[in-house]
Amino acid sequence: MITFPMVPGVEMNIFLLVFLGFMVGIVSGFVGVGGGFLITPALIILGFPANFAVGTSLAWIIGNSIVGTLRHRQLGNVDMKLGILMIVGTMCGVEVGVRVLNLSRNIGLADEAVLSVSICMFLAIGIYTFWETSQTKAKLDHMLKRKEKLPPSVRADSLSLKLQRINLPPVIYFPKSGASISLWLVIGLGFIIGMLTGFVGVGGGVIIVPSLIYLIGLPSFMAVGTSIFQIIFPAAFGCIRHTMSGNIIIFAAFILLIGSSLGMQLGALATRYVRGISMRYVFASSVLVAVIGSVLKLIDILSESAITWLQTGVVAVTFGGLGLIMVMIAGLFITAIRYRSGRYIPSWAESLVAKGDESSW
Amino acid sequence: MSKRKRAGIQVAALSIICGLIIWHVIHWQASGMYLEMFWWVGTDKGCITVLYNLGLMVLLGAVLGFLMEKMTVLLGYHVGAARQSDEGGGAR
Repeated sequence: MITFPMVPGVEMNIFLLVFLGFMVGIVSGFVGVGGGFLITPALIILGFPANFAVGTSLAWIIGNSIVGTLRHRQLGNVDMKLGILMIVGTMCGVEVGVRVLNLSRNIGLADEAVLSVSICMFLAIGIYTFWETSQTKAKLDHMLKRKEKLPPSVRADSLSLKLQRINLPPVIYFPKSGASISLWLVIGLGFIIGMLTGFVGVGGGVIIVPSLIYLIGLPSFMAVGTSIFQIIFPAAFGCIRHTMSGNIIIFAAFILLIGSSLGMQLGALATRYVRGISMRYVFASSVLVAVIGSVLKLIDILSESAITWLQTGVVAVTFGGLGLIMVMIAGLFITAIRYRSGRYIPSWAESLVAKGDESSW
Repeated sequence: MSKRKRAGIQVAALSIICGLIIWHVIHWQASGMYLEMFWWVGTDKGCITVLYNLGLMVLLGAVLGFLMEKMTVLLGYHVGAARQSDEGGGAR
């Protein structure tokens, strides 16, 4: 058991903290999110005051994202050029988003309104990703049924193609992603992502991953790697601000990082064994879990903590959701291994896993 | 020198650095240095706490990241070119 002198009365099993980091590391490495929406409520449940949970998770996200970037870079999943250009817009956007948030509070817009906006936004992202992925899976299943070879590169949807057609100089070619797009659109998109992140308070990866897939037209695995790289910078910005407010327990972030560095490897490597639609399914599930958690939090605020079972509900959603996502990733990984070794897998799962001749032990 | 032998040396060196960082963090936690640094926030020494927290996470993340990368090389994991045949968003 360890104690943290900054928060008297909080006692924690060190292995539980390492295990929590490990679990969230797997999810983070697989879907390309920072993992703050899972770690923060988990730390609160484990006894951390909310401000310490937010600050500590931001510090942890920096280290975790660096570990993830290095792993995904080795797997060829990071488009550094695109990531760096988007960061320019994102960082400006975060500052504007925070200022808009402060302004909205000054004019009397309550926290409930901000939380409602974030719930609507995450719900839209989750439902759209789920719907689009189901459509794509149906098409792939149909092709497999007709014994057709899957198309080599059909990654951009109509919206990303429309954006790529806007010829606003300078148009930059990103060889890693295979996309040409105007610099101003990249920076502008980064700005909007940053503004939403700053306004809502969480959701760097939750917004970046679908934006890269649906607006820029990146393949899912490339979006995951590039998103993890981009998350480092807003997390560092947040870490500085929270350290200045005295909200960070660096020893807890350190323990979480030890666990998550291992989990991140497994999550990132698992992306080599599945198709993009599997990553998007898990991503959509993670977002919907976060939505349920936020809805419970909103009800708690509106009812002024009068409903006692809500606390139990939040615990169940946080750890149950994390468990569900872990089962999904493990299930996909086992299915992919079986598929590669020529063993039976259900026909509906064939479109979820990759044949995988890109990497091997 | 073979690729795996070089990776073995790099893993050994990174493990030592990682071990030193872990020892340092545990030592400072046990000696109460972190608590002292926590109270520096809001004073003239506050920037040291900011730089230390940021530096520790960046350094540990980089060391652990490189360590894991070299370990997979040592274990014989081969990474090929990125898949360009993946179906991304909204395949038409």
